[in-house]
Amino acid sequence: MRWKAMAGAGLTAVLMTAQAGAADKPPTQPVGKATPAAEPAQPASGRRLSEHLRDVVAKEFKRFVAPHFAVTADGPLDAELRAAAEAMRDEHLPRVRVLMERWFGEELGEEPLRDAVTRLQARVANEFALWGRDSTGPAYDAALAQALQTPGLCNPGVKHDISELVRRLNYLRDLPPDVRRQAVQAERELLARWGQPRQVSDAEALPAEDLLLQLRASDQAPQKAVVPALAFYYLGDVDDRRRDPLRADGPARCAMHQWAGASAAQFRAALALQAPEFVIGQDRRQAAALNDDGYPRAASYFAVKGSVTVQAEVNANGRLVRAKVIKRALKVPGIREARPFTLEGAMDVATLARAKETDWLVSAPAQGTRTVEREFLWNPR
Amino acid sequence: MKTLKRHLLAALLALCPAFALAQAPVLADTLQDRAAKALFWGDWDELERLHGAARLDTRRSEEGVLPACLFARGIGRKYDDDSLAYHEARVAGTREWTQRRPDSALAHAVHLEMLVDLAWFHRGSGFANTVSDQRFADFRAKLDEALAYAKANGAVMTQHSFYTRPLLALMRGLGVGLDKQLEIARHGLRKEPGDECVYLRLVDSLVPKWGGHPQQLEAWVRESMKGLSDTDALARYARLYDWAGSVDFHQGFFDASLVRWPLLRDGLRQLIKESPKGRYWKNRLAYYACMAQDRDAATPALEAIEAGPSFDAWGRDGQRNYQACRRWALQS
Amino acid sequence: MNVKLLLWAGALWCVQAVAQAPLPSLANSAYERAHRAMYWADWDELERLDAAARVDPERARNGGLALCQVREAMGGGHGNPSLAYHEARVAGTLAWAQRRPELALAHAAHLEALSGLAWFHRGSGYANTVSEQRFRDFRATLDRAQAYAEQHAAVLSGDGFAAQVMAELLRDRGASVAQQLAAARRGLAKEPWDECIYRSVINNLMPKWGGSPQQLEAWVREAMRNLPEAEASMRYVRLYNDAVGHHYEQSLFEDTLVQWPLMREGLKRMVATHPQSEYWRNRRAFLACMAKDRDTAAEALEPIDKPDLDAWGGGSDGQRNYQACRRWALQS
Repeated sequence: MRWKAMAGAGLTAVLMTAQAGAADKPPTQPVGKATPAAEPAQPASGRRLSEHLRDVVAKEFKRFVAPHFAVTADGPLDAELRAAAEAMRDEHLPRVRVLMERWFGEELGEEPLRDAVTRLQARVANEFALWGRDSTGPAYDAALAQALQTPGLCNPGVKHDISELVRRLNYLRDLPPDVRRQAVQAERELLARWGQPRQVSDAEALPAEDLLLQLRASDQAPQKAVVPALAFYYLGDVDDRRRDPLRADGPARCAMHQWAGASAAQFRAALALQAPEFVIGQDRRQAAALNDDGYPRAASYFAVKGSVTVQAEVNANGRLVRAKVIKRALKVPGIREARPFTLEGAMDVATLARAKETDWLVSAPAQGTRTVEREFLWNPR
Repeated sequence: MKTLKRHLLAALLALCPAFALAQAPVLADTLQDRAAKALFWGDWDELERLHGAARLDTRRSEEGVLPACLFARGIGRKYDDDSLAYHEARVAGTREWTQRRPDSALAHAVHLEMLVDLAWFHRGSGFANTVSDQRFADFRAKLDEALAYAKANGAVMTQHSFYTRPLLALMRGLGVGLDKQLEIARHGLRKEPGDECVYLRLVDSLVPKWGGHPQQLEAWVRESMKGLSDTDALARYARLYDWAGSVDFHQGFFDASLVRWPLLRDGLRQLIKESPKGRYWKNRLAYYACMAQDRDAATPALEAIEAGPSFDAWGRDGQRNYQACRRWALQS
Repeated sequence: MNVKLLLWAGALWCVQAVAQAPLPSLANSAYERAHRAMYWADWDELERLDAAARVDPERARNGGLALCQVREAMGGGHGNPSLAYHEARVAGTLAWAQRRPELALAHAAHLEALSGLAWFHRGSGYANTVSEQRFRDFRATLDRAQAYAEQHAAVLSGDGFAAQVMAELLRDRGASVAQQLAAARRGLAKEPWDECIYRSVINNLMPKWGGSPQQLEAWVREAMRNLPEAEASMRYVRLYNDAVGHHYEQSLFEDTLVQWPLMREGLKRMVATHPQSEYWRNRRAFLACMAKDRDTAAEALEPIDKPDLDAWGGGSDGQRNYQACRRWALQS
């Protein structure tokens, strides 16, 4: 990743300049009573950031965070939801900025220094993923479950590219007024939890993409009607016009998992943002593709390591009939005190691809099929 | 004085909604896309909302089109890569919608349209000799299914005029006579008198490729103009004949129909006046002026669009038509 | 072991392997090469390709002759051609003909370029989609081509490609079918083996150009004369198959004098003679469905996993034709 290296080099240069600058500047004394700064507070822990370093954070914030909270007049939200979205955005973005400065301060104390920005990105991305999976409780789950019964839930409106905040609130638009109000309030509370250690659902998403591919291969009409958009993108008549479900964007993924019958928790798990999507602009398929060194791109970028365990059903010929991920033990620099949900998607895809290429003959039964588990190790060189 | 104040306040309050509506973004400018997207994503509630809004907010779009017509065009949007699975998903999804909302006229009418579209998907849009017997069989089977559905749900569906669109398309596919189609259109108009979209819809049936005659088309255009002011009538004349010209007559317009160039020209000018920001009518005026060999009208019309012609408005091979028209009009 | 010796041995082995490897067939690459040569105005390459194709009777995977591929490429457009593109072709081929005045190919290429320009003006739509101005440009360019042909009649006379182009020009200018066939026969008089001339004239015999089923049948029979039985059978298939795409489409068996048993035998031979051709494998099924021969269709469909859509009518029509045929042929 050339630009990651460049960013790292740039950061080092900035740090050296900042340190040199700090050494040259004479200490200043406040003239009078200190006025509270209009800008976000200094980080509570970790290294105090100079202006240069705060600029680094500001750039990351502007590029990777703010767009996910954009609210525009031409989006799908009605006036009430749009007002709520704007209020949430205005409340939340300064909060995130402070958090990012704090986290960056912490990362500057870790090695290697040149990867501090990447570690910050991973942490922010995981916060998005945690937000995606989090719930305020049964009432919120029930509201989402009710929304999942609504046809057209995933319609992004004319402007296909809507922010994460708008997408989440858009799901609530057709709920009964009371339920909707409470759900909007719950969304506000979930944002307020950012940065706090918390337990979120570890539900696994349904294999909706596989189900869609199976439907495609069967050439049969689906038992449950698919949204026309899914049929258009994934069930077309001609092979080379059919898209890959693993490359689906937000609206299509939403429709896929709604169609597959996801519960509220499963739906949230499926839609939780993955780091490669918004940091390096790659969908899960691309992120899982291997670099020249045989390592998944996203894993390489974020220096992911650890293992993913697969449960495989193997036939008498040693061929893999079915495989699914049953356990993960991944470590991602920058993500502490939380499971790295934000990179599990790409690692699952990469692991299953590896499983497909693996020779399972040693595990083959004499006849029929046999279920085995195998751990795949991922260690960057 | 108190009474005057009260009257003034009452007048203000009465005008408020109208004022608010006038200030609100024009629904028609985004309606077609929104309707198309809602159908694409199976958002039936949004379609209900949009349809309801289109019936209340009748302000024309920048190009001078009514919201109800744009809503219908959004429903009718076609995609290059459509497939059998896509059409079947639309049929299945709208069927579920009608089951969830059996009282919704719109749900039934849109489902009917999906059935008719699926039939046409089987047949394809080519000439009859490009369609295999097997495909014709599929086409007719689906049309029969659509007809049965229309008969079973006619009472609900005909509550407002959107149904005329799929029903007329169905009649055309079945080869039903024009008298019956006229009856359907007039039935729709009885519910919603003056509904321009209904007048436009029947034009499709009155062109030669669907068995129509120039006299029938002329009679229908004149019928649609009755009761309108002079300027509105001129605009209506231009709208309906323009639609006919684009659907079938193309360059043979002035030879094969009863359209009169002076009326069409004046009607197009009226439409440009009503929709000064629109580009379609300005291009169309130039297009027809060249077709009518009216250099005096063509030259200023071409100048008006010189900065950026819209080739979509110039028929098949639009760019070539435009360039040939320019060369001809600008030669001394 | 001596590494240098190893390397030399390896290199020698490579040279020997390459020398023994069969040369890629000209027919499989002729179209692409000629198209590129045309695009880059590489007239010398075109001359080389034409000369090579004349003496290379080996057919491509799909059974096409190299010579026909070269000529097709010389007549083809490139993506979405513009006026500038066509004018460049006209100018470039004229310069070629002036540089090589004795070369019939160069003059024929220039005629073909003028024909291409004329059709660019007209467009490929039905006459009622073409404006008066564009028709004028079309006719003026055809007149230019005619004048050129007359001026260079001597060098053009008897050349196969020139005969093809002349027959097309006569057709476009409204000459009788008899005159068009006479032009084609002038080429065949010198090159009776030239299948490309027989094939190119099929379009001239379509009803849309004033031809009749009887004229088509007569021409096909003329093309089969003096050929061995197997070759004659396959030529029958080739020519009637061309008629499908040019005009008759699904009405081939109703509206022409083609005999399905002869087609069936010929198609069986085509598949056997060109076993690598997905096109003919699919086309056999396509035509069997058209002829409503369920047994042949089912047998032909059996080895087809993924249809070659070109053989089924191309694009989404092709997909629908294939699906409808499968459903019909495989139903019990």
